[in-house]
Amino acid sequence: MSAVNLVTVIGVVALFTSVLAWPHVSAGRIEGVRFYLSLMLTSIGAAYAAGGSGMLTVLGGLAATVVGGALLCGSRRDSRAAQEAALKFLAYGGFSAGVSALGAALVYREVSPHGALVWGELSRAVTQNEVSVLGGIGVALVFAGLVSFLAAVPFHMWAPDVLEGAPTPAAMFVSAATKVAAVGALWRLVDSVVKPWNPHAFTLPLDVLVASTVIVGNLVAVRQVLVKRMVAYATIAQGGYLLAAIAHGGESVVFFAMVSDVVVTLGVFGGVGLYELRESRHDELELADLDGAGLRQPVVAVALAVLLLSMAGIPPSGGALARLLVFLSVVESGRNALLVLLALGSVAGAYVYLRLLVRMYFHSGRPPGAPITSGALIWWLRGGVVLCAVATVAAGVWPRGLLWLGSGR
Amino acid sequence: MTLNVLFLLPALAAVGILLLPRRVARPLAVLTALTELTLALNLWRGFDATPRLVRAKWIPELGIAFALRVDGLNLLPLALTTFLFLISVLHCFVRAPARPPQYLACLLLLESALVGAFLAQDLVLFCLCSEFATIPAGTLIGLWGGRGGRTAAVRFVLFHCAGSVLLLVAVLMSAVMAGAPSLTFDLIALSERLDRQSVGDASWVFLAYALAFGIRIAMAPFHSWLADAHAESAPGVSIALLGVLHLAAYGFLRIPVALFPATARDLSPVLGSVAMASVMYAALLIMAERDLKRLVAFSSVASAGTIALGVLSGTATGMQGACVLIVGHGLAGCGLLLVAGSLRRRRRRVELDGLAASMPRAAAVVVICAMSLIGLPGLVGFVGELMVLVGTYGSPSVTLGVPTQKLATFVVALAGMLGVGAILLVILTLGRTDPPIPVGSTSKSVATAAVFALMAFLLFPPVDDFDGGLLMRPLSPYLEQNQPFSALMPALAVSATVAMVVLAIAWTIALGRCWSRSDTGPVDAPRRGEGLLLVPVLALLVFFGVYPKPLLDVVEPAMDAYATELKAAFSEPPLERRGP
Repeated sequence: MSAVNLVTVIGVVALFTSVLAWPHVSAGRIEGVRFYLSLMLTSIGAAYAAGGSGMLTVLGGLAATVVGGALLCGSRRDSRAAQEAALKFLAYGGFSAGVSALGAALVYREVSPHGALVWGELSRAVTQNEVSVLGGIGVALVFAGLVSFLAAVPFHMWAPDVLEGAPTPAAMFVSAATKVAAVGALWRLVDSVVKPWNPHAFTLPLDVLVASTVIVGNLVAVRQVLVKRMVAYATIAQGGYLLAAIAHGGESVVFFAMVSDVVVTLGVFGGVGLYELRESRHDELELADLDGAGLRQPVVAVALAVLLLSMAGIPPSGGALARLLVFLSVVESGRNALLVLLALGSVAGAYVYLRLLVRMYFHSGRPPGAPITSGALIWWLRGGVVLCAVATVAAGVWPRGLLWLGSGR
Repeated sequence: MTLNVLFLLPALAAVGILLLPRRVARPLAVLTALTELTLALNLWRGFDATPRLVRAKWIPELGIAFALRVDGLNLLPLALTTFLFLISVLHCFVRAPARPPQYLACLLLLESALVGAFLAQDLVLFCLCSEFATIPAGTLIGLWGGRGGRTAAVRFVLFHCAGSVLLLVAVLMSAVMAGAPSLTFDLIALSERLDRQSVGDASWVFLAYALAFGIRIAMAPFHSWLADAHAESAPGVSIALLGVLHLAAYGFLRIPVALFPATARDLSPVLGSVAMASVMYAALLIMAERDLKRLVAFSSVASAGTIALGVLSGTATGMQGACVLIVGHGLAGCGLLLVAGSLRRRRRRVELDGLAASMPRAAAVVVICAMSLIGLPGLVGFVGELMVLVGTYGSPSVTLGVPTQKLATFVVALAGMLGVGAILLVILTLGRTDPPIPVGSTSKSVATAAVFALMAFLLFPPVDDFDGGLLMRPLSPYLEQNQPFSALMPALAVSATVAMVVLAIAWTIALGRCWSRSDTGPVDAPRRGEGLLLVPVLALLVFFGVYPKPLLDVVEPAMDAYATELKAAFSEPPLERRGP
């Protein structure tokens, strides 16, 4: 999982988002200039955070991500929800980045006689020297800040509000980019500081975080009525699997799980955006708006169904294999209790995605509201969703490419 | 090559059906199903004891391979599945579903997944295929089902998702247990490795397998999805769902028992008792049920219990019987479901009441199929049930943990008291058939519990100086006295016999409704071809009943090899009780 790969992922996500955002821009739902400028800022920040060579680079990247992400969320001026989302992301993200910065300062106090805050030197410093309590607290603080960008329960509070309120393309990018950034940074932190220093210190807290994230995310998602909020909780739950991969899996497992998750997130948000533009009667897409959607736009609906099933872990899809790899890593490190909790959580998750699919296919459809936008641009969204579905099936059928990319060779 | 085609052809045909014009759909589907059956029969014709194998790399980093294999264990269920799917596809001509291309595509996707799972030699491939099967099956139930189809589909998918996750967990744990030098999910390599190195306590993994397959095979506490799925779905879909059940039964026969024979030996009395309880419970449900489709579902529950018992007996005969029972259940169930389909169309209800008066030939088919299910000699069900019983009686006796004598005495005394109540309650319940008491009502649940208690009263094994239940007492001289709880397996055999008898009585009572009530509703004329589909089913039912040699020729060599391996494990001294 080299830095180049992570930055490439961010770049592809940014490109994809900018294409899928265009129909929203042309429909007047978001302000184009503001959106694209802040998209650039956010992606640069996320790229630094994901692939940064040391703690300070990561912190700088995170700060840029927070500012840019807040601007992205606020790129729809006529919506109070979007403004609120922007403010929330700024506040929560800023606080988390600040906590990380505090932690980094403590770590710096610890390692300054031996070198800088670069991953390699940190790794050497913690293996060769005794780490004091303050240094340990510092690592824990950096860790907590990063985990809250992954929206792991109990640091998940920002995600549902921000992803629900933000305009859909912004939610798509913020969700995907913060995930890549957090996974990249967390992997470096765990791989080069935590594991060489004390491999067992973080196992139990990490397991608790993973289990609570998967279970709470899925259980709360079951109760949601707004589609975007439900998807937000579902992505929180998926973050739990990523965290489990970071805690117990190898490099290629983390990369595979992250990429397949990002692909699915992009596709699902793309699909939500499509239905918002085509069929919504209100500003917010409700679950009931999807009634019969599966029979109205069959191809897109099948693609969306494939993406949702991938999230539920049904093969052949990247999500299914990612779940398999994560479970395998957990079994290999002998954490059976965690395995049981993950299994329970994923059954609850299956019910979440099933609820959406039941709405789309088994409920009789009502005539859709007047489409907000029509014509050629809607095909961009359709193509994007289908592309994501094809990509996730491809990852499920031929996973070796992604695994090879992730193995860092 | 053949195996690859067998696996992938239906999936490709499904894609083709969706893309090609609408009128090609049905001919293409029939052609595909026919090709599948021909390929499977061809494998059967050229069958010798050496397995056929296809192997390709898939994810070598993790030891996951794309490996397919045909041998004596999976050939029969495979051929049966392709046969059932041909019937199911042909049923489209009798009664066209809405949106035929989508319907047929789902059906063929389901066939592909099931065939893939039957053939899979790699456990991960098995998991993925059997998990994917849930989606087309759920869609078929929900979109082409009756009014309650949506609920039935959600229930079906949820139960199966839970089963799949458990199965995945169990598979991963067993692969990690086998461990060094590198991971493998190949069934044979895995069982060899697990055999060579003494693994620790595998009972949790085995129980996870048992639970996963128990959910999918619709054993008693988890049977609710099956009745709904059968009752609410179209006849063609119900027939296809039989394949889903057979897959679970095959999986239980194939995977956990092969991987952990010693654990199977340790746990078989307990799991066998659960299976028997499931059979008895199903018999009670059958007794009270009037809807033919639900009858099929409950008899599937009963068959599942019997099949599980055959597998758990650990003898070659019992396992062969389980395989033959799968075939018998598939054929008889298919016949009954076809009749149920035409009842729904022609009489607008699927109850059996007064069937003999209004549709005598349909009643005759129902009786023949039901007789096969309860093991009437001359029909294929008899062969299977007899072999399971013989196998269970022949099973080497087994040991289990020792509960205290006081506890046992208390349980038996309680069971005796409950048993007396049970007899009264059952008589009362059965006597009051008009108006019939709905299934699931409190009195029926109480009656069920009471019947279990009665069973315990009759069949409780001897412990220390306590002589055991009434039916067990004559057996006590034959039991090894130095191993206190070892009597459970003979008890199981006895209770299996009792269960078969009870099942037969239950079916007789259910079938009695055909004659005992009058039917005044209108009956539509039959459609052309409606009865034609039944001909091969009934013919095979009788043919294999009279001449089961083709079936046995396939299962015998495989099962003999399997059972020798198991017998080695079964006759080993039991593992030392592990410390705290």
